[in-house]
Amino acid sequence: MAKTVAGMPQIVNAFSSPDPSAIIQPLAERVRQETGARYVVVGNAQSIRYSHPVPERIGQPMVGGDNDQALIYGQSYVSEATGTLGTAMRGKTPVWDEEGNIIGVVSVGFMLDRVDMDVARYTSLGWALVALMIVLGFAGAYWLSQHLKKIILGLEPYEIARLAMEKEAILQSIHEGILAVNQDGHITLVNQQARRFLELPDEHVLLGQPIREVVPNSRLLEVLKHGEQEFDQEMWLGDHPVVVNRVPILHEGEIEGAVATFRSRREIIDLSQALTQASRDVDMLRAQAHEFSNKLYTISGLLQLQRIDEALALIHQETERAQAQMSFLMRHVADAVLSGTLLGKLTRARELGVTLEIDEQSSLSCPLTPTGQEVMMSVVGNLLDNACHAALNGPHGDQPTVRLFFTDLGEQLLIEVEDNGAGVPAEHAESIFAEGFSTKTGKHRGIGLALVARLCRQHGGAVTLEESELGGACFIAVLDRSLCAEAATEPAPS
Amino acid sequence: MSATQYGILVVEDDFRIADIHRAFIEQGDGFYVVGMARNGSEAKALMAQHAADIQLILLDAYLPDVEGLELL
Repeated sequence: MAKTVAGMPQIVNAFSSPDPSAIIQPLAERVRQETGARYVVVGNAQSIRYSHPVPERIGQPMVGGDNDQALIYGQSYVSEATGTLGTAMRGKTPVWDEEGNIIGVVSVGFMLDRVDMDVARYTSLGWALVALMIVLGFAGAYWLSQHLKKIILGLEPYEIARLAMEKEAILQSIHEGILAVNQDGHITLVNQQARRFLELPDEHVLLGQPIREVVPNSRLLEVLKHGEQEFDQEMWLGDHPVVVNRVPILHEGEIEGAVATFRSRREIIDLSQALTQASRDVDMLRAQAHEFSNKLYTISGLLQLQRIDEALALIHQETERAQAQMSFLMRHVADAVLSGTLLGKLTRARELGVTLEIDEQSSLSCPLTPTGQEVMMSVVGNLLDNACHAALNGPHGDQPTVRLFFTDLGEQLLIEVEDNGAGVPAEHAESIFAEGFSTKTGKHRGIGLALVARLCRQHGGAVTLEESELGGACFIAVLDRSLCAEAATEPAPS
Repeated sequence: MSATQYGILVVEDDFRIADIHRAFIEQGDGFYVVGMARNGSEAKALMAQHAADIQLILLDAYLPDVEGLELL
């Protein structure tokens, strides 16, 4: 403020007038009143006052003795000094004429008590503002954290990080392919298995791509539209037949995206077949245990009834029958696993009351490879099970009969299974080998014959249907001889 | 012979075991065989025919057309 006063042209010009204080005093007083300063004193180069709040002191020397810095060195400064009006915080600056000579000094003072009050007032206001900002900051941070927590389902950051890592590990390790899209139909997630189904390399960028361009038949856009879940739908993904589930992603009732999971249809069928085979094996073992226990019960009963001759006859008969079966199988079947399967089937047929005849001309002169054993067990097992079922439910259900013939003469393995059931109607002759087709009721039907047909195709053969001499159906399965472990050898000695 | 006679239905597909059942029952005092069934459908027919005479059923667990528990 002192500099402003010192620079006022009226003040500078007044120094050269005959009575400077007549001009300077009114100006200085006006400035003092308007700014609230305690005093605005203008002095000449000898520190003689031209203005002062107390007019009587005009013309007297300025007190305080600190004008030299301004008058000699031309510096402006702030100092604390005691003047005629008391202790003040004052600013001093020289007054320059147009030639650059120091012609006077301006001293503007604010009483210290007033300054202290102002400082205290502004300091309090400052602290209040700081406190307000801190409170607002905390409130804002709390609101923001609650809002974020609501968005991220109340999870802590470390939990989110762990979940993200877990999700990634799960997505990449599971056996199902997963594709997710946002509400615009752009891909937001794809795992490794889905890439394998699509036969796309890792470097091929899928995220952000429109699903209709990557998988045109995904039907995810339809799910986005109608919001309905779809389960166990069959489709082709590239060259892979898959079973797919599609579900919408819903948030507060709005569709925000959709997810599709894919499983290999072939793997599902293989698993189903393995379970069916395991169930069949258990059934055979149960049948054998049941028959054995029945035989013991019969012998025990006969002995308790003192019918010793009948008991002995039964023992001999069973021994002979078992020996005959074993002897036949040892002479005609070189593979132990197939022999075991046939023994189990003979037992099961007896339990069912079905006469199972193995043609005496049957022969398998070579042991089978592990794959060959699995294939033969499946083919023979399925065809015999179907034949027993057909015979029991056919027109000769009181005398159900099934006949088995097999041979490895020639370049292929041949298996014939016929029954005296009702046969296969002409309209079913084609569809009977399709997966899912069955004349039986209940779940997990329509697998057996389809499996036989697929195994035969996979191993260089086929399965065909003819009419049996027994009156029912006759299935002829042909398999490649490569299922044999070695070249044909002599049948095992009896 | 006691005055009260209990009728028993034998349901068994193995004819030898059925025969032994019959022999044991006929040895017992107060029991007689109402009928012999070889499968579930014969058993149902005999039960309908002799409902009033049957006090006990000797039932095999595994029958050609139905399991014993299912028939029960």
